[in-house]
Amino acid sequence: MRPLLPVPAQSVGVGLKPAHYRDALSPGAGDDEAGFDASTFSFFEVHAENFMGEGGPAHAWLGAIRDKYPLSVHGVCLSIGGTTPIDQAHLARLRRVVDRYEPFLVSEHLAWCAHEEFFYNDLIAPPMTKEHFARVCEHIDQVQTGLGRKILIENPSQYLKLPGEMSEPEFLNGLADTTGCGLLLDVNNVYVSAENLGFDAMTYLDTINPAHVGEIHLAGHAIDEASGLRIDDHGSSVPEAVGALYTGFLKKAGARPTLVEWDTDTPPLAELALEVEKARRWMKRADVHVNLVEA
Amino acid sequence: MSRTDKDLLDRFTDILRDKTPPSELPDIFEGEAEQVHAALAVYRNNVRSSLSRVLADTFPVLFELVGDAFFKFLAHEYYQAHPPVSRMVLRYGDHLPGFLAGFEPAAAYPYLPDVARLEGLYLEAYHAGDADLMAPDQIIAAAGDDIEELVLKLHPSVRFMASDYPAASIWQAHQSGSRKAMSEIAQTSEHVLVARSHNHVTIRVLTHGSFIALKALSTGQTLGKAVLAANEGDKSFNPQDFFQILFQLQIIAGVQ
Repeated sequence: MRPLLPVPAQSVGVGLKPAHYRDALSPGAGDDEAGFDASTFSFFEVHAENFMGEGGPAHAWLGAIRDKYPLSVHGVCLSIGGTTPIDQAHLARLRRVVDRYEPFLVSEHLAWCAHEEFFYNDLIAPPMTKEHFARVCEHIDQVQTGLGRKILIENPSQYLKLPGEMSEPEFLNGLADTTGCGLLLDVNNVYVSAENLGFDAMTYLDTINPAHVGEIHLAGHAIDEASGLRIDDHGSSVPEAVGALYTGFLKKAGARPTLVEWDTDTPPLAELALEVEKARRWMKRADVHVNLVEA
Repeated sequence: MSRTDKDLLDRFTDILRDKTPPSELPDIFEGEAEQVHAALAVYRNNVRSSLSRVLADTFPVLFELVGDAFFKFLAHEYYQAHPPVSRMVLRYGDHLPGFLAGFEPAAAYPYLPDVARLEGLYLEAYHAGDADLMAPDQIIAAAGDDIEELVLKLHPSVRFMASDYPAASIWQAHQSGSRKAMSEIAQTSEHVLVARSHNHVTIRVLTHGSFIALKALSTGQTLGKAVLAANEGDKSFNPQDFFQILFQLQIIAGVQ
């Protein structure tokens, strides 16, 4: 039986990559200047699809890490926001990961990455139509039933306005109201979409019902020089503009478990520790009561 | 008749797979043509680069051998020929070795498909199921008097590959710490065993006889029959050497 690890709302964690496993288990081993210790990271989040193999080192490492830290499992391939029915074999694979690691959070995306028989390995925002809203609710029902638990749904990053009579916050709030799912609010995605599509990010955040939000994602993005579009590449430090939106949301909503994502050219844990400290400063700035409970 | 959401995704994916030329922009997107063009280019590029990265992660030695520019070209051609059908990105490269074998621009390097095949086997071995290994004294105790009739259960990660090229030596030369130049690798065929023990995948070159014997064991044949097959296939096969190697390999997960 794995120990139940408490996860306070003020927790700040990072997305964990294979290059981090060793440091995560023995922070600072052989390096006095590591810049972080076991209390730096409140939790880790992993992509579910990286742990769908039968066995081997990936599971050995994650099992050891799960014994020491709270874990969040983030799915990236279910294509909940698509028009193609949920892939039941893939849902069963996700169920095995969730059963094996008993994470405190399980999340997926309001996005599609597969259509008909093909898989595109990218998370693309769906049309926000009423017709599609009903379909996505059905997909979430299936996933929550299949996993036997509640999931969080993350807002997508957008580059292109798709037709649809619902706004994105309306769509997301509606999903939570209808299916009982929670929301994973990716503040970087809100910023990227707002810049690309020309809407006001803070107004978007004000429209999200804070009661639904169970986790927040922070990340960096790139700017495409040719078009000026912001690209959600999770390949750099979280910018101040995203931090300001984050603080703004927390002022209204209070603290939420927060994750720093860095998926492209991911630096070592020591550098991610700086990002975590930065997020904690932004959280403090929101004047929410920060009382870090030791795991 | 109003357009359905599925129609929208049908047309969107036609763009992602380069079936719709950019000049024939669908009228389903809002905004100015220039902006729509730019945004669709971002989506196409995201899909291409993420799938190219999946292949680079799956085939790191192949990537080093051909270089960044050629690899991206190969990845794009492969995407056109074999768009991914599995949600398991680990499986996306399954057809790459076969594709590479018929890929004209790489024809001057006929060993590349086998290096890719070997990297595919490495990945399979890495993620294969777990099983406890049996120590040599346990195996000998379990064998009893009739060692010839012994049927061994090999670790689930065990994979075999016979190559007309020195695929394993090329792979080894590209591991960190190795500084062996390609010109130093003998141009010979290789019989290769890929296996994981204690959570570490190793790639080894076997003698032809040991390869035949291990392959026979992996299909559930008795130790006696495996040795017989090896003797027939490789005149220089030495059973004593083979037994020693068999125990050293640490790939025996049980006896039946």
